[in-house]
Amino acid sequence: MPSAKLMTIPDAKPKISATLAGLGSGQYDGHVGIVRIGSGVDAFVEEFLWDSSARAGAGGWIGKGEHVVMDCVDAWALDWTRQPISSVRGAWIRPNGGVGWARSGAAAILKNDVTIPSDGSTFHFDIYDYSANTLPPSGNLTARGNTYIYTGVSGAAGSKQITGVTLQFGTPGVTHKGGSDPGDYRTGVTPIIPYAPTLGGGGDPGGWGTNVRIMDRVGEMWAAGFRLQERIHAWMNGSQDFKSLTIAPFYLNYNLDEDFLYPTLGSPPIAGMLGPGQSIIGPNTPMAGIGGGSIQSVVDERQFDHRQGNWVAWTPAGAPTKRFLVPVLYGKMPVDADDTGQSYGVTLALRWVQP
Amino acid sequence: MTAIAASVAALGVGAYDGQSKIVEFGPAGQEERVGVRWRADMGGGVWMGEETISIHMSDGFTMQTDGASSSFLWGYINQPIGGNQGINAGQHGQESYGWNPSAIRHADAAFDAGLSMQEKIDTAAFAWNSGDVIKIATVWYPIDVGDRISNVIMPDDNIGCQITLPQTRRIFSTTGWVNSLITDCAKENLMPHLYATKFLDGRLDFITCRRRWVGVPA
Repeated sequence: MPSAKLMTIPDAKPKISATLAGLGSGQYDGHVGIVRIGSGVDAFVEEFLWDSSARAGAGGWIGKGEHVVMDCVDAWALDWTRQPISSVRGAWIRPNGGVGWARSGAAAILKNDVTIPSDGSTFHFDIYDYSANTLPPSGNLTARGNTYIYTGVSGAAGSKQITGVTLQFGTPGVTHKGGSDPGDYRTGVTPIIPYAPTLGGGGDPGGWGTNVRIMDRVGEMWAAGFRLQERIHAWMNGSQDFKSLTIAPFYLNYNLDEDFLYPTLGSPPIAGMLGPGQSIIGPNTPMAGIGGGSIQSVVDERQFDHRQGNWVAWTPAGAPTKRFLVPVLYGKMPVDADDTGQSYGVTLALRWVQP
Repeated sequence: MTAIAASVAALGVGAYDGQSKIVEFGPAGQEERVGVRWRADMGGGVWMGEETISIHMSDGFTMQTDGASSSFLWGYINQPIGGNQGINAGQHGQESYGWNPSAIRHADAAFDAGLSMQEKIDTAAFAWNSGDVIKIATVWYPIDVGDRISNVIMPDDNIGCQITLPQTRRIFSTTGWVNSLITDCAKENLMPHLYATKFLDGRLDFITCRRRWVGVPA
């Protein structure tokens, strides 16, 4: 049983100031410090508690509020499957699309490398089709960053082909099957995924699976002497070729009346973004899928391991000197990865502290 | 000195700047407790509650209203534009509006206790290809058990806070903290929704709506 001691908590008035310097030191553990910046109804208010053990025993003000600026929709995992593999190898890129739990759909794996013609002519994919769901006889599909139109599926199990394929959007050239055959059924890891063009195009209502909240008056708090701490945790799994996914936030930082630039899904972090913030690395195993480890787990939500970081000082290069702060989630794979991992339940919180 | 009171009137005037008290209201056994601090810097002083998120947004959605179905001045934001190829519809096909509301329980009792509501909207948005002045707003549905959400509500009567979007440029905008236009509630709860002026052809990102309770002693 933990020991307990009787403590008498004084009820001193809170210390109130517009700056860290103005707050000075607290008089006892739990003493309330209030930062008010500005005046009137729109004054910014942030509350702190004095912790005598903070800053290696020197004592410090710790923000009372844990600002959860990002969490996830509890409906699907974040997936990097639709990003070109070249974009995720050793480089930060955003998740593109999601994979829903228990919403297994048709999918296949690229069996051989294929050269995508640049003149718009028709070609075919050799595929492994282990999915329990039948591929539609025609339609649209994605393979990493490219989208295609196809007109047929032919052949028996083990020698199937998707035929009449033309490039709809993306980059011509060689698409590798990927993978190094780690000893089981996998001779390729590049997924072939059908999609409905009416939803997969501009009207796709799916979102990216993260929820964000704008943090306000950040630049003024920074100028007042306070600094941010980050804490992130998530469920994560690795790629089919046994590589670890790493995730981290990058931040948009804007003032009022400043033109808002937002990176597209295919873009790495753009100039002006602050990051990466706290990174966490997932396991290097893909985990079992809904199909008990079948090939369909390439594109279905798989099992996850939990990963987390503790409160650490804000790490992105550059200071958030502008008013609004918004996180954007990024991920990357090792430079030799042929496939991508998944993440789920990402929760990112910030708090103000005395540095 | 009373630290917990059933009304703003019973709280009285704060003894010092930053003093903390609690307003407790609602049915017996189901009381809501709102922590407030005395703000001596505001006029004659007010009791200010902590801010709460009322609506936040899913990243990856850009929203617009369906002008054709908007028969009111204000239309439901019902045409989210997801991220490029965001979801494989063949496998998943989840649909949603992209914003996440949080209801207020015992809002009627809060107003009866003398509390009033303040709101704030932050967003990155702009009106696009539109010559109209475009606004977005929180619209609060008063709801009781058994009520159903329908399209017959007149949002004009239930606007809490609104913001005018910049035209042609996508920039961060804020209302700052303002007094909500919702000053009473005839039903037990309030449920926030997000509306926009009809025929909006614009883009809304990162909408974050906040609220807080405020008590002004008589």
